[in-house]
Amino acid sequence: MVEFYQPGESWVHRADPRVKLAFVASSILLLFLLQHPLIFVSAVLGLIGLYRSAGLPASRIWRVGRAVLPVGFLLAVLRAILYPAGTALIAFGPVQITGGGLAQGATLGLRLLGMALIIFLWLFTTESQSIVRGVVKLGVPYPWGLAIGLALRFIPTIRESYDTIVQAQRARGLDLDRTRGLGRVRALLPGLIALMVSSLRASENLARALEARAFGAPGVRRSTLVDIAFRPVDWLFLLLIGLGAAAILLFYLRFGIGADPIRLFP
Amino acid sequence: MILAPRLEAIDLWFAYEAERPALRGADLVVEPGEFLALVGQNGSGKSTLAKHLNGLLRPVGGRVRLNGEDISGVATGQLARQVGYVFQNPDHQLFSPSVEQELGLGPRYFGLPAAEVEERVQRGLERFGLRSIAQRGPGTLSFGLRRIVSIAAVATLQPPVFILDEPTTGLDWGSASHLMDHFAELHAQGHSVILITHDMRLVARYASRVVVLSEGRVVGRGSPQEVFRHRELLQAARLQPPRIVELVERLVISGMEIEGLTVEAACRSFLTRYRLKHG
Repeated sequence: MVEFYQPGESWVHRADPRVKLAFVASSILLLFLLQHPLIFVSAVLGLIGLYRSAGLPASRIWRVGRAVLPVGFLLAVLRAILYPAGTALIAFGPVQITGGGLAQGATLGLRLLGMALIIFLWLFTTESQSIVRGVVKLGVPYPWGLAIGLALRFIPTIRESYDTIVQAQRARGLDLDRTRGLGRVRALLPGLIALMVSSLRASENLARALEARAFGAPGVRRSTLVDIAFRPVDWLFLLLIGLGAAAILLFYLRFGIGADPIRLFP
Repeated sequence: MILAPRLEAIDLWFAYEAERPALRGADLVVEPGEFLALVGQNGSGKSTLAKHLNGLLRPVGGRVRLNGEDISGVATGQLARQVGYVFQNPDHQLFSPSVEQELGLGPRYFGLPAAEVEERVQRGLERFGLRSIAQRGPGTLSFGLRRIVSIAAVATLQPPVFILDEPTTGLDWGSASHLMDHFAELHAQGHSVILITHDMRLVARYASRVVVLSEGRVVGRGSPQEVFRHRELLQAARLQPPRIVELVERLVISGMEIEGLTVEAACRSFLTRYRLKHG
């Protein structure tokens, strides 16, 4: 686990970062509007297809799945139990499992998975420089764009630091196998504090290193080493994304398709 | 005297990323009470190998034995009683609001009685010269002091075996040798010390045996003397012996009878040999 970006030459890699951002934004918006689990199943399958077509190995898909599925599953179960809808299929005393609850739970879990797959498709196929260029060209001020790029760049680093910190705790005699539940959370707290301290220190050093390399020097017009430009095919992608999103939105608003968690067609 | 356990790593394989194994069949034996230096260029697998000795990493192939018993079922938190590990970066191992509490963290994890924890903390503060900063937050200290605190915090566990992962990086020679003298003292009491370092002067001065790693395998072992003489090995592992060793070697080639890996030892050998001859 070193970096999000997986180098490649696929059409997804070559697509303009702004086009990919448009895809991310519109598809996440749709995932929040739509309710029927079948739609989400097909969305997840479609996304897996996109991953394969981008030449990303199955291990990458699995990595996203492994990170999101436990939380997604928990949310789905809680939703199904806590918000019963309609008649009970199974009942254990006060706990009822209903068709509606199950459908809503499945929707919730799959929505999370879908969102993660969408965002990571973007991160896996776009170099951080391109991400920064993309958002800057969309009007975000350069320091903000750089901050986004640096944040993405540092997530894996912070993750690595945290692993080392927990190792250091275990090497000092913390026995995680013997702590459960709340005790485990409390046991990990010192590690989180150490992580915060070391991350703050790292960010301060980073800021100094940036300034030492003349970041923010007054009166300087930035030039860029890597630039991005729309190709004809990028306009086509953008058009397709727009048409697709508009079509789904139209079916949803006009005919209520996918608006209900149980019945696909009203 | 402390009786340290015998540690044995047999044909260890490990990979952080499936495509690039970090260990490719590494073998290591640490005899009780030995001062062992683990050397090799960056990325040769030194830390990875050492992290197997207290179960922080578990091998995908091979075994680790402590006094002949496989440690695969034993948690690191338990192994910490036998093997103490000081990490490279002090900021990854400081957890507490004060230096005093930092030193007591490990003993408290062990569930020792409060009086015993207190005694160990006081001894640690004394030994590492931290008394005057006992109430300071470890995060607010200078890098050198953070490093010393991180080491003192492992020393209070009083493990029979110490693993020191580049403990002197960022320390001046004075603090570094002061620190290492402390471990030499522990070594004299029977503790095993495993020192990971790039500083060959430390190896020459303190280690009784050297193990050279390259690309996840042990490519050489022997006394510092033997390893420093082995030119091809040094070149392959990109190591440079201390200058004094090279000087002594050249003097020997030109016919002088002199030996020693440190300035002190070489001087001693020179003086005893030639004072006798020339009166």
